[in-house]
Amino acid sequence: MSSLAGKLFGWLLRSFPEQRRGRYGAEMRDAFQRQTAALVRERGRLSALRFVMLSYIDVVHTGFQERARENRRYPLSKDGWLTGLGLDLRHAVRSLSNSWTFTAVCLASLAIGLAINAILVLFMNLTFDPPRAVKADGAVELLITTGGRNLDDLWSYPDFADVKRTQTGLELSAFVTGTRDLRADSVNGGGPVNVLYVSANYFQVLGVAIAPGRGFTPEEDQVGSEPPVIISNRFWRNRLNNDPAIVGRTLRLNRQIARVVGVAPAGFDGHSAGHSAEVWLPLWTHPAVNASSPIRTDRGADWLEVVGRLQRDVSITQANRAVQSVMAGIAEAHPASNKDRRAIVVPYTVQGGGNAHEGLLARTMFLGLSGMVLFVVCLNLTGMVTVRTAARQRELALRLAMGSSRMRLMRHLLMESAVIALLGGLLSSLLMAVLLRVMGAQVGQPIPVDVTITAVAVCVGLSALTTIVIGLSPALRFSRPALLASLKEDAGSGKRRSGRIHKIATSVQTAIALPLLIINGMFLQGTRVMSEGDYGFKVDNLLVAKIDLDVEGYPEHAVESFLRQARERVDAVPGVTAVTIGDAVPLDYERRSRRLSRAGEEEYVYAGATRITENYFETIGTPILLGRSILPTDVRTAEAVAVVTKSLAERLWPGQNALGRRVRYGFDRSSQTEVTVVGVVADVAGSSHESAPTNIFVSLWQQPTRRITLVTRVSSQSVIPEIRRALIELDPNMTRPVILTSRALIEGAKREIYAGTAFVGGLSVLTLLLAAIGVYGVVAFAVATRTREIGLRMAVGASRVSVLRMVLLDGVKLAVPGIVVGSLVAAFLAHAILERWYAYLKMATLNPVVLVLGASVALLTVLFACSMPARRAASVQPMEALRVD
Amino acid sequence: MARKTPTVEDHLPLRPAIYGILLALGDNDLHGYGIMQSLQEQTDGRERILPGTLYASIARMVEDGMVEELDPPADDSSGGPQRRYYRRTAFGRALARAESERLRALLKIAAAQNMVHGVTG
Repeated sequence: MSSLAGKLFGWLLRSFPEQRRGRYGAEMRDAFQRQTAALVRERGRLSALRFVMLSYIDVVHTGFQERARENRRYPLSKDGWLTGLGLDLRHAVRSLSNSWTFTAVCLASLAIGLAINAILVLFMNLTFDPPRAVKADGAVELLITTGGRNLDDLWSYPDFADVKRTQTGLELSAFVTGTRDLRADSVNGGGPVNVLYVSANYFQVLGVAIAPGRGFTPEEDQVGSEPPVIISNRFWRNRLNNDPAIVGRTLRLNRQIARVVGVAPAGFDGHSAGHSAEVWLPLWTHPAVNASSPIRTDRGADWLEVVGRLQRDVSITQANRAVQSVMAGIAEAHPASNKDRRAIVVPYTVQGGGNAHEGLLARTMFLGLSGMVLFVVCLNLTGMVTVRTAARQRELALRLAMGSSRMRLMRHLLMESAVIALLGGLLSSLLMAVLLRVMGAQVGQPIPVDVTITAVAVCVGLSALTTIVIGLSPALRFSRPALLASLKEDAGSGKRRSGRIHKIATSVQTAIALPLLIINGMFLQGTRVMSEGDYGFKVDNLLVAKIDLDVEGYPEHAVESFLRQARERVDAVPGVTAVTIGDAVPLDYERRSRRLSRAGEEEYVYAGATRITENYFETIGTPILLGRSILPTDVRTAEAVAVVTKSLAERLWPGQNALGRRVRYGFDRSSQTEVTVVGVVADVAGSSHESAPTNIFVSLWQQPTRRITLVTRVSSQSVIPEIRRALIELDPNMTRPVILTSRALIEGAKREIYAGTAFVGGLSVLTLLLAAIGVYGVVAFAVATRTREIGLRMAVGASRVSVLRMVLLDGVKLAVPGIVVGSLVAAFLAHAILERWYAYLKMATLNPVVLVLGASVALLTVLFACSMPARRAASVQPMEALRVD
Repeated sequence: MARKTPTVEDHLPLRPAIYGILLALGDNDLHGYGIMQSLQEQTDGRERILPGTLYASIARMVEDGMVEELDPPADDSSGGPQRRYYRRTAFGRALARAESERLRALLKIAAAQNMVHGVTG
């Protein structure tokens, strides 16, 4: 013990100044060891241990006291790194507080930039990292390819069952999303619930542990009387009051009673970004399975997504080979449905493999943005540090001349960087904490603490990295200034104007901020167009009610009579001027894109396909241009017919009459049918404001569906409760129908755009702010180093106004190249965005007004940033300026 | 500017460690560890000085002329590193004396209040 204790004592002796240590160190250690040994002998180990501990504290304490004494006596002592460090720190703090402009600009840049960055990184993690409960390693997804391209993620049940049954080195689980209505009699808060219907092994495959309670058992994959249900932790907390006895209780989901068998871990709301779940039910409880539809045996009906887990020692390549050979076998046995269909196994991602491309795109965008912001911060800092170091060249030369070592100078410069890095990191963490709170409040859920800590670490780390790296280059460059040259020069003569680097830096910053600003303007303008836009139907006073007859539990034979009765009852409500039934309305934001081609041809186009009944176009207010609408007589036994929009007709048969032509299309793979065009209507919007106006309408009686939309034209929205009552009277067990106006649907979409705009907008404002800070810093320093020149100019007759103009003009010169480049970038980006989205309404156009406006805002910001140093320059007193140095 | 030689009064009150070292030295020549031992023995282990404080104090006392440093004796047989011996100077002795007087004045007050065992004012 005593030798180890002695070693540690020896190490702690380093706290003493080197000279003292050299003189007394050995003796101190000797005394310590002898005393310890004596105490062990005479008083026991405990007493010795007490002495050892006290001695440690004592030696460190006195050691530092001695150092402090030493420093007071020999302030320029080069002895010991610790003394030097303390001295450097004091020096750095003093010199930074002397030039507060520089410090403030650096700190503001760091704080704003890094906070944005950390939040971007945070959001990326929240969006792209798999939930913590999932064991992502070894988890895979199975995707479908058709004809070697067209990646899809939907499987038919028989295909899935065949692959699952075969030994492929994979354990597979299928899932499909849906909603159920939680009845208020089972809990205090009823209402719609997001459901994930899954194979019994779902949690096992994803490696998610259920507690309290258990996962599904293999037997529960079979149809039973009382389905088991697993609830999410959040659902348990928010809707079931955290009921400790929840396992074993029942919930009423529509007409079905389900027994809670387990609670998923906190933070797990499903494994996939697009499919957040509040409850999990076995696959067989899916309404479509319960209905008499042959969905479990139909190879043409794609409705399942598949995840899996690689078994031990199986590689993804091996699994791929096995799955592909199974699929090839199926294709041979069932060429009608499975010709050209292949499967691939890909690693699991939160986006879902089918969206891997978009996920990658989004991730790249996030990283790009964050990198860009970081780049701007670096540019700011580089500019500032370079200018400042250049301005201090004389001071540095003087210090060298007085015998300071190069190492010492470098250390001093680096210490300044470190102080800025630390303060910047702390400030940005603070700013970020505030921003996160605000965002947490927006999301309605606090951001987890450990995530915040990660973000703080990112902030401080990035701050340290950028600042010190940036501090290093001038430190290296300027710590050996040409001594004489620097001493001969006098300050403020204007010889050292702002360097090339920070001129470029300012331009680049403007060039980055401007496109963001312009695109933001574009989006905002777009939302205005959205409200005023012509969608090809009469938006106002149109009511939409969605009813899922599967969920409501209607048997096949009762569907038609329900639909006819519902229409009659609603029609009878006073204030209703027209009623129709379809499976969708324009702008309901439900995807319905289908492939269709001219009969007998392979080439296809995508169009929105809607099932409608009689009176549809009259109700929504879209004029029929040619032929007729769908009629009550277009039933299953009659010829299959369709109505197309003008755009689709022109797309398929340019310049020809579309009436009587035949089109092939299908709602799923196995039900490809040919229909005859009997009418052409004016262009009308598809499922969203973004979708193209190429739409086809077929008869709901000929292509039945159980998810229907009741569309009502009313004289005033006040009749909504009456309509709801009429429907509930028809079926008291029905889920309380949600009736929305078309206007509300558009407003909902607008809100989403606003959210996106707020993000881009906030980012552009902050980036512009960063750029402004950068410009301010550069110009302020340029003015400071040119004090003497300015004084001279004023002495020989320059007016205040001309000085003001000169400085402002310098600022503008800095910004103009950035504005030009930024405008070009904005135009390019705008073009790319318009190309990709907004096919229907030319809602977001890059109009010159937005471009000019954006450029003006950028220019004004730059001018504003220059105005303060410009005013300072204009107030230079010639005599005082000339007296400098 | 020449520095004024500090007088006895400039040092008062003495820091306990310094007072202890001056008393422990007595009229003997002792090395550092000897001082530690001597102080402990003379106070039955009630007073103790730790190595860091000891040597930091000694260094200062040498600088201030309270003790003088001797060359190690040729016959040092205690083993370990070569040790320096210290002897109390006349100034050191005067300081210890002045501090003792100062403490006695205080002790007298304490005794008058029956605070000191076996001594009454």
